[in-house]
Amino acid sequence: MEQFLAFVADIMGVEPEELSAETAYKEYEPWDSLMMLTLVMELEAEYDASIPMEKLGDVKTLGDLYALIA
Amino acid sequence: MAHPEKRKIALLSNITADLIAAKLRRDYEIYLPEGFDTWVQESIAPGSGLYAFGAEAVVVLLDGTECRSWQNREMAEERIDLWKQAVRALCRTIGDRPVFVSTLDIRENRIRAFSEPGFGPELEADWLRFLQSLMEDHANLCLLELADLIAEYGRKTVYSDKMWYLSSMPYSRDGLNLVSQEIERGLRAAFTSRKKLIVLDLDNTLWGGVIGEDGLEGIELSDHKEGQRYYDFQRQLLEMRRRGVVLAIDSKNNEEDADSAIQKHPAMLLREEDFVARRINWENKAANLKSIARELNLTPGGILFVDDNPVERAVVAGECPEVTVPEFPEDSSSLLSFAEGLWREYFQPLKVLDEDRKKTQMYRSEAMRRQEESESLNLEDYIAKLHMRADIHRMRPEELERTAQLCGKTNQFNLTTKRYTQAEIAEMAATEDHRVYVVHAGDKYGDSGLISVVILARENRNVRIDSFLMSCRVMGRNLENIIVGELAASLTGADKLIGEFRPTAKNAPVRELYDRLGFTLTAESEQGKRYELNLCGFEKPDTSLYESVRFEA
Repeated sequence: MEQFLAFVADIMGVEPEELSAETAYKEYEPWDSLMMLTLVMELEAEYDASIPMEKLGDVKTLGDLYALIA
Repeated sequence: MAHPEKRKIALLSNITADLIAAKLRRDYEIYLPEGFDTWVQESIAPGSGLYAFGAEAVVVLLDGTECRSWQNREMAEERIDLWKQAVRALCRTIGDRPVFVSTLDIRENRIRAFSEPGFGPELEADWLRFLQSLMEDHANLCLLELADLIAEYGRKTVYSDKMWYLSSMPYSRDGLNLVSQEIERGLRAAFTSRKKLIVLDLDNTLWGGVIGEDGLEGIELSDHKEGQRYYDFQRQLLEMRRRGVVLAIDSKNNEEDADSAIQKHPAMLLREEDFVARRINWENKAANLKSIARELNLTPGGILFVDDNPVERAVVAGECPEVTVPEFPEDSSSLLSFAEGLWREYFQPLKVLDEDRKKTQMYRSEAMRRQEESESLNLEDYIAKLHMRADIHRMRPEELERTAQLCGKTNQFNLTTKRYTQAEIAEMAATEDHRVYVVHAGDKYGDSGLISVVILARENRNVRIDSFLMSCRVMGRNLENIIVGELAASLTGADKLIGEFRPTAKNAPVRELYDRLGFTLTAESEQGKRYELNLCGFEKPDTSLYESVRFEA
């Protein structure tokens, strides 16, 4: 999880300490819909994973997103 | 070259290009039209935000994924016709700033029988033909070779259907990076100066093996099989030479051994006349390279050093830090693509002009002139021996492109360093109050081509030299005296000729030019100096050192 948050922080251009599993989509400002796309793209490539599109609608927090690739 | 403000680039696309724009924004100010797929409207309407933005270059990125919803060929052609109209309008309206338009990769994924061909390849070819024919009228149109890039890396790498469905942006992470990098490569070619010279080693670089040990028969070089690695590498270098890159040799060898290969080997593509300078000796290679740079009057930043030996590369990189020293491929079967990579990264220009094609010949003539100079007693003697010719006339339409190129890149002999575009120069040439003169020079060793530009501006009873610049190839041959003398003598209706000098980091060689030409200094500030020359009673300087001077007012 820590590694995941560090990777996400790097993509968002923020400090890892700002992020946690509870960080919420669209409430935390840097995480808007364009950033969501970037994250899906980067995470799939980085973790060699496929994030099913139908699960994306349920992602509310970084913890939810992590569950899809872990 | 550093630019204090970011260059303004318009990015037009039929896909959501926000993620590409985000990458480009690191180095450029990007205009992205509001809304999805609005690029056609923006291009066609002269009052659109696109034209108000004042882009210094435009990139049109067209993706073929939307073809999946084109139900038949008619529908596809209708859609592409609209694109053609938009690109035509764009080229017409944008002036002479570069417009990069992508080639098409049409990824159909269509359900079809073995006997049912798709229509993608034909549409792709048709699009390329359209762009080619448009280039005949619009010299500013360039290709963004998207289809080639995708073929090279493969659709499976470049595309992601998930991204397409999520965001109407069809690329994977790798695809997005590749496409962004390709756009950046084009923009670098448009805005940064290209390298000029490749300094080459011989043994195990231009041929396999060591000529001094293996002999003419023993080195690997042939137009087929194993030796073709080096043959193909030489062919790439020859093609670069034909497009304005100049080549030189820096090799540790006995000169006669090296010459036996260069002159006699049947599969040698690069011969004596393809090189502008050579140092074949047992000296330090960095010292050789520096002496080549001095001889050709090139700055180290414009030089690439190619050598298979890592020790020699380290020596040159250490002693000449501004010279670019690429890694040499470990496996000589990749020499062909290595050369292509060098071309794409350091040399590929938007366009090759006639002057570029003649560059090697010009440098070689220059070397012969220098030989003459060293044998001459003084400057007058030297100029007289060269049989110099000068032809000064008003710029002709076919000279516009070269004139703008010279305005854009001349640094040393440039009094005011105003970087006019083709459109601006054409406009000045067409008005009554400006005159655009160009100068061609030549001598017994050859034609130097269009090497100087002078723009005169009428100011009441006076005439001001708005721009005066000259290629450094012909500096120091009294040509400036002749040009200004002929122009001054032709201005019979004017009182004074005004000259200005605006200092830059590079134009120190002409700081005292107007003093030397007999002008009087009238004002001086941090911005520069202003001079005048009284035209009343002006006497034309002696031009007898030149074989011929032709002036056409």
